[in-house]
Amino acid sequence: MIKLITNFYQHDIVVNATESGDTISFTSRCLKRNMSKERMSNVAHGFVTALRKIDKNPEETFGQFSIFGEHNQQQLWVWSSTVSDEMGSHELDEIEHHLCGFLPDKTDIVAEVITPADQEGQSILAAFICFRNTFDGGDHGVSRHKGTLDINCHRTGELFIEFIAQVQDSNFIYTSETDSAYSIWRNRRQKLQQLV
Amino acid sequence: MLPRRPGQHYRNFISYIQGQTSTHNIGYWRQYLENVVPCYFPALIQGSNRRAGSGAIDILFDAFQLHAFRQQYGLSVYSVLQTAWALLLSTFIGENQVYFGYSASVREIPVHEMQHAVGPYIGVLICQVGFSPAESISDVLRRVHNDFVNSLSHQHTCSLAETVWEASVQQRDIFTKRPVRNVEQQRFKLRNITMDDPSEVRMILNMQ
Repeated sequence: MIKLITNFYQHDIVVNATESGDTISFTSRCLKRNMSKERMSNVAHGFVTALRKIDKNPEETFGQFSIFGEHNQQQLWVWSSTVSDEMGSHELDEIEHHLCGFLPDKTDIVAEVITPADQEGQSILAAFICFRNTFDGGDHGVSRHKGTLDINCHRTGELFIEFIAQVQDSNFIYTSETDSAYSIWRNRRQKLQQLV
Repeated sequence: MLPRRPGQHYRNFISYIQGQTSTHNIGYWRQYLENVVPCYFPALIQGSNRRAGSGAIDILFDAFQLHAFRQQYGLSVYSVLQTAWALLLSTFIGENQVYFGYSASVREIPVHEMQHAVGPYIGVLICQVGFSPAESISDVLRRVHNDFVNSLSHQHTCSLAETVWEASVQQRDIFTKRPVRNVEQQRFKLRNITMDDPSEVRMILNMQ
């Protein structure tokens, strides 16, 4: 069998629906960097649930239609808004993903736009990096000096991104303006807490 | 088995596409995508839990009743799947208007023996589905179906990039998902060794 378009490696999710007689089989694949297998299962089952509900009661209004139930729906939106901030979450996710390529495996990263306490009105893009083990960044194209890790990189176009993080003796890295970073943390707060 | 005689040349397909005027079609897509806004599927994992690679799950769906239903309403399976996908996106994104891309066959053109041609005769199109609270799902189904039918004559003259550009969409990525129709052959087996095909989209629904 040749499946000409089944190419899931570069996409968050591929749901391959194969119709055979009275059966439709769905094969769902996801990139783990964006979704756990459990979450993918929820998404895939949500899709099937939507199909069943359409079939069962097509005259139901959109306002009445609910895949996960009212309570779970509210929980889903709260959870989603916690993981993704309102502005730029897509870009921040991409930054985290690409930065992972320069760092050892199992390195946790959170990218966020912060305003340092001594630079009022000037926002910078900071990466919070957590190394699982003792890390010498020299072999990975980054430098570690005086407890500070500075990574400068150019993205496509003219956008200049500066990652600033400070290495401490622990396994965690904070920005030098940690208090300020925490003070402006909103939806990604829990994500940072996962690191620290 | 492939036929012994030469098949349709791909250049004939390209010649037809290039010979089409795009003004009328771009106008269609501009109107269709009026007020479009980016539609991003939310990240469902926190940074500390991110891993490399991919995971897969399989689900079987008994479509017997679905076939009866779609025949009763005069719909294609494709329209029902698109509507279900739109409802799912709306659920996760929390918006009443969603967009996603989908790949469709572009063989419905007046080129001789186009249906028997071998090759990637597919195009990526954009589907937008808006919901209003009082609208029934059956009405949404009909609208999705009619939109697809209406789009058939506008599929061939502008690329996805042109469509997005002409729709005055500021963001390059207006969606993160696309249902894809798949092609299957029974006489061959293909073993994937490695693959690298970057894409600008974040989610795909691949349908055979």
